[in-house]
Amino acid sequence: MIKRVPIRDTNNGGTYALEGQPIDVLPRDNTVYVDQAGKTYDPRDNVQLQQLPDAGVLQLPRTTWW
Amino acid sequence: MLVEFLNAAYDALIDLCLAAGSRGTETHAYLLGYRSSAEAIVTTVLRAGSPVEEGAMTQPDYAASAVAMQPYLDRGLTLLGEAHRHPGLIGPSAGDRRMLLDIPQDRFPRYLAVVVATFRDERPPVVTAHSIEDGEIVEHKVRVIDAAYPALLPSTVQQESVLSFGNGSGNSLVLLQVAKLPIRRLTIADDDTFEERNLVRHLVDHAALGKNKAVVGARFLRRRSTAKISAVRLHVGSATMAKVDRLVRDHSFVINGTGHPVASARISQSCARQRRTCLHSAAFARGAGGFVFLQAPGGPCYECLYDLNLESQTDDHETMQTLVTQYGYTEEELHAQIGLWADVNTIASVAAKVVLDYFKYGNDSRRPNLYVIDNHYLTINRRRVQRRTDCTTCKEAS
Repeated sequence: MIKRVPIRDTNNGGTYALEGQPIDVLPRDNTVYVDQAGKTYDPRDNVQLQQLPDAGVLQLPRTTWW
Repeated sequence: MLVEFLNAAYDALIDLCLAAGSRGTETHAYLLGYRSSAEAIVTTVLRAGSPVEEGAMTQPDYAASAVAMQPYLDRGLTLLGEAHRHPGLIGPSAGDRRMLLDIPQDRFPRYLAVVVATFRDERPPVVTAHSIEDGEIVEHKVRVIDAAYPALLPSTVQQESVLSFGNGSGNSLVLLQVAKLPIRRLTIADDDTFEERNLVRHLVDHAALGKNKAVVGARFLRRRSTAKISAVRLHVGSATMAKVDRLVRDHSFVINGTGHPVASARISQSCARQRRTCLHSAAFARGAGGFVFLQAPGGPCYECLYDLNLESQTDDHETMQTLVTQYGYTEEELHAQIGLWADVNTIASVAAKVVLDYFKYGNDSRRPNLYVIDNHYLTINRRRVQRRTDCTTCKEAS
């Protein structure tokens, strides 16, 4: 079964979707995902798609400024 | 791109950085606001939770920030970028530059890295803003403003070539304003001829009687515009669709001011096929109101609106004669039937404004694409309509 997680797009107000098998891991693209309760999902920790909630997820760039 | 801080947001950022300076640390904040093609306007500086703030490094508190920014996103604000403080160093450090280049541009295009340099002496803070454009780090001008309204047009407007179908009472008012924009070219297509009855609701005078509406319109606007303006005598029908397609393909933006449902559907189909953005506008019967609809490639087309029951009322000669012969309208009633000029003008004003906003924001999926004007209560209802799943035009175009 394909899992589809809608992600709130902070850039243009819409949503986009992460799709794949539930066991697929999130792409390592220098971002982090945060759900509505404030739980953070870091793709560097091999987070699987099924670990994300089905709604209310937001993506932010992972940043360190010097 | 110009980076502009609303007064209060600028003050909040500077206060944040001066406080960090007194602690001897960097500080971090997310920047939220509005964005057009030419401007990024920061209205809100958000420092939520407990960001990592050390002497020469800072990281956001992702969890607290994501929760805190939700209400702002709900109100239509955009995450524009991040700000941090430097003790004395103006602009991004080498590490900041590497960081900026590492942010995924497909997800966060034009993401801002704002640096506030503060100093031990009396020098005022220096604020810089950088983002990535075409893979390169670009510095932007920064200024402080009083109103969060993106007012500037991007320079790309100078490349726009606009094709307008129709130069009737309403569309002539739209074109008067569009022609004042710094566009490159405007082509007006119409096969109708000016009649005496048109004069009470049109810009032209008696000299236009008996002449083609496109030709007279182009002549009128040439003296009032810097754009290259031309006229085409053209009836939009099944026999002329090849020419319609060529014209649409040859322009970057299309205005459908025919007010005729069949012609509008044909123009819509051509724009969907050629992937051109098209603005449709028309008045309802008796000028009771009207609608303005922005059709963008990949989005809903004119035919997707049929469910919404937006029957417009045309004033072409054939329709007027039908009304006279079949329904026995008087001349006065006919004027009321198709709307007086002031009523038509409310629709035209909204149409011109939607053209302006398209040039400012492009096809922004957050913005409404349908505006319905009620002339009785003087209200504008706006919404974002989606494609109809059974629309054959959209299916063929995609």
